[in-house]
Amino acid sequence: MRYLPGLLACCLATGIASGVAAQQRIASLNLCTDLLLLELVPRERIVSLSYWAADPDLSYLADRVGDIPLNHSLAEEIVPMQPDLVLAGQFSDIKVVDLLRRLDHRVEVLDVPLTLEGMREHILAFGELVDAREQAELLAAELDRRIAQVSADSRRLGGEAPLAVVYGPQGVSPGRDTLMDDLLTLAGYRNLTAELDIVSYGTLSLEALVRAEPDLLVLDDLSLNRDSVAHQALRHPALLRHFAPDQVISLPPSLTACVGRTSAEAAEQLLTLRVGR
Amino acid sequence: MKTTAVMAMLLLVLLAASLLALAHGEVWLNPLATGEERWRDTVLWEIRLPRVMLAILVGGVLGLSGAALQGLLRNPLADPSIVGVSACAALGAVIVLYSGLASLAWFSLPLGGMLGAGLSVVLVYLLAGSRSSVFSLILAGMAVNAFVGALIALVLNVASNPFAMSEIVYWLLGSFANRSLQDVMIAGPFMLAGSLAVLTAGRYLDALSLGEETATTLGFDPQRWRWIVVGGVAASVGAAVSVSGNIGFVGLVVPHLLRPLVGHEPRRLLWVSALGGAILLVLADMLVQAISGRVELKLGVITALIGGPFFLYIIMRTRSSEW
Amino acid sequence: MVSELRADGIGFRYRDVPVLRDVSIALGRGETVGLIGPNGAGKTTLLKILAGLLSPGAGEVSLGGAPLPDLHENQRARLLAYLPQGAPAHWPLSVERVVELGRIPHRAWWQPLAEADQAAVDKALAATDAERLRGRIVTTLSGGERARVLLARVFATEPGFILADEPVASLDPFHQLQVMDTLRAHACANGGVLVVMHDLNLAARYCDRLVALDRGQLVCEGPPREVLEDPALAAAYSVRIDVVEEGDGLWVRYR
Repeated sequence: MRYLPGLLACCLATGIASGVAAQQRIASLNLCTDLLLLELVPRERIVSLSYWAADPDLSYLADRVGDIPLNHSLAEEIVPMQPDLVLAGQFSDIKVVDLLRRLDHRVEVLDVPLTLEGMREHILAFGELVDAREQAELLAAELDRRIAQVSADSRRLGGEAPLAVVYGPQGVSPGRDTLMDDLLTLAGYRNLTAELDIVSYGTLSLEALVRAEPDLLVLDDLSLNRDSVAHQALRHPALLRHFAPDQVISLPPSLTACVGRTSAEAAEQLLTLRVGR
Repeated sequence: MKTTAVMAMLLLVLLAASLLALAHGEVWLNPLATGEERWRDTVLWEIRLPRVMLAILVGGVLGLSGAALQGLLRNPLADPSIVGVSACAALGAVIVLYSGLASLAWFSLPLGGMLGAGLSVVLVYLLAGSRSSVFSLILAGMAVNAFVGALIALVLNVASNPFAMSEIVYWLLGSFANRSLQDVMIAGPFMLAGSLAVLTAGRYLDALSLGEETATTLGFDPQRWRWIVVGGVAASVGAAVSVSGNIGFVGLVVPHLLRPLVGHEPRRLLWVSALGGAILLVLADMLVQAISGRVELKLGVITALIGGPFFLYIIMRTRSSEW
Repeated sequence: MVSELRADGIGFRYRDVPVLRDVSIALGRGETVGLIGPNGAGKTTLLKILAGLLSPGAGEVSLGGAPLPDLHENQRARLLAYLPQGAPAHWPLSVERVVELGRIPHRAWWQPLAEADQAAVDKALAATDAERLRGRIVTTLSGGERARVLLARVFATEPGFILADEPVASLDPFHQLQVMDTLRAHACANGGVLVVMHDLNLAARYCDRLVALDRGQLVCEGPPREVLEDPALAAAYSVRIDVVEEGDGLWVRYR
């Protein structure tokens, strides 16, 4: 009995594959590959997305997910769908990847870029992989153009670069070689954490934060589950009292979760903020 | 007379330690001088002062509660963290915090801690009995701690908190990092009220040195006074844990070290243990900040490093006489 | 002045097993009463009921005419002192501090030890021959020394009535006599003493009156000689008892 759904799905899959040869069916285990799939590929070719894709806090395309089945990176969810291609990220669970490969699935583990560098190549390669070259080229071109615009506007604005810091739950803050660092630099800010010589992510104490007297405090993650001790650092009265309301903004995590369309969006928002002051 | 001298000495040490803790941080600041830069005031009075105040209050509560429980159970191994009171308080606070109930009223978080602590006292009484031997008390505490630790993990998992792992560590080991004056305000009144209740029971604990029957014939209603001590401990520890997590062993180490200084008298021990606990946590919190790398160590790590070997030492000393 | 501690028709059951049945006893000022009887007769239970530590299932205990439960705890503690059998000392306190605990009913919690309190403590230590133990640690004392210190604690309270459960059990002959002398002196100074005893010779010599219990019931009571010669007492102990009057007092032989 328990093999029946799998068998059925198997027969269905072979039927479709023989009928419409070019229609590659894809499953994704990673939020960033979810988002690119939704951007580039028609819905009917997506057989499954990770459950994060439907979380509006993290996914800017959550409303486009609709009735696409969601997975929790479990092989038993993927196998019955018999996808032609399974996409995973470099941080996906290696055990699932191995298991799916042993069950004769084609699994591509993609090096999802963590900074703007390599974004263009990643999108184009992704387009090749999922048979959506044209859409990928369009997207890459659009992002190139928007980012160049931000860069140009920022340079035209001139003046002294304001000091900014991104502060997340538990005092986690992105330093050098992070997407947020790229976006801040692009919009003409200095990143406090990077200047403290922190590579990738590090923690910043409240004391260090206040002492550095940054011009802009970007609070990260405020829309996720707020009832935790981790978030209490973000609501510390010292921050609220020390900084003027216009010195503090919060970026929704959906803007910074993945490198892609949202990155241009975030850079534009940061630049607008600089123009405003 | 001698006790007054001991108290005065401890008060002086506490004052010095607190000033030092205010001055000490990532940079040294003189708390007595007024500075020109705004960040100095924010760092001193909004970030460091609440930490020091909480360390004093929570340390005082834990030292006092340890001394009171030891007097009540006439057992040198009784301590709010060992018998499971702290863990249950943490569970109460965890349920309130992660279910979002904390925003209902300003006192709901300490209330959760106090309810949890109250429940644990009942549990320990049921498991070990009111006349517990060293052995049954430790076993009961172990069972409660293991069970409640699992419940905390479960609640955090159900709350699907992205920081669940580090939050579990926080609740099980405790920390004063990122605490604000707000925490002092919401938990402070309950810590003080509970401690006052415990302190009024000093003479009862003295009388209990000669056994429950003698204490009763000396004019103490055992039922009433037991509830005053237990209720005071539950309220103060519950409120303390709800803003600092479960910082272990303070109530074990401090009374044990100070007992000889006050002639082993339970009543005098209450007062000096409160001061001693405060000193210990102010110093431990300073140490935590001094030795930590980029991610701050939890305070319970320090107290457990001191308290663990101590615990074994006391067990070995009491083993021959009581087991 | 409260003149009498009395219990009327006391009944007590422990887990459905009757321990005491319809026992009545009275203790007046100026008398030393011995409570005797074989092991398991219910002597300690009766003493605890009189001290207010246990509430009787039937009957009533009254102090100076007022029911015991109606008295304020502090008032009761000043009038009625209880010395349990083999009382523990849980912490290594100094002897002086232990004896000072006897003054608790006399002062409110904020009051320090007054001169009167200190005098009572000194007197109690002197009466029990424990002055030289004053600075010692109670947990390091021998059994006999400890018994005297705990008795001194009782005297420090300066109670009207003393209920003592086998106060001489662990003492050498010299201190047995000394403790009994002290208790008797308390009675002579217009106090009342009820003492549980196993040594019938001491009971005969020191008590004005004896009360004998067996299996939860009063067997006989009255002057020592009458009680000791009562065949019911011999039956209760399952021995033969001979009472001899010799020199200054009674001597009891049992076989």
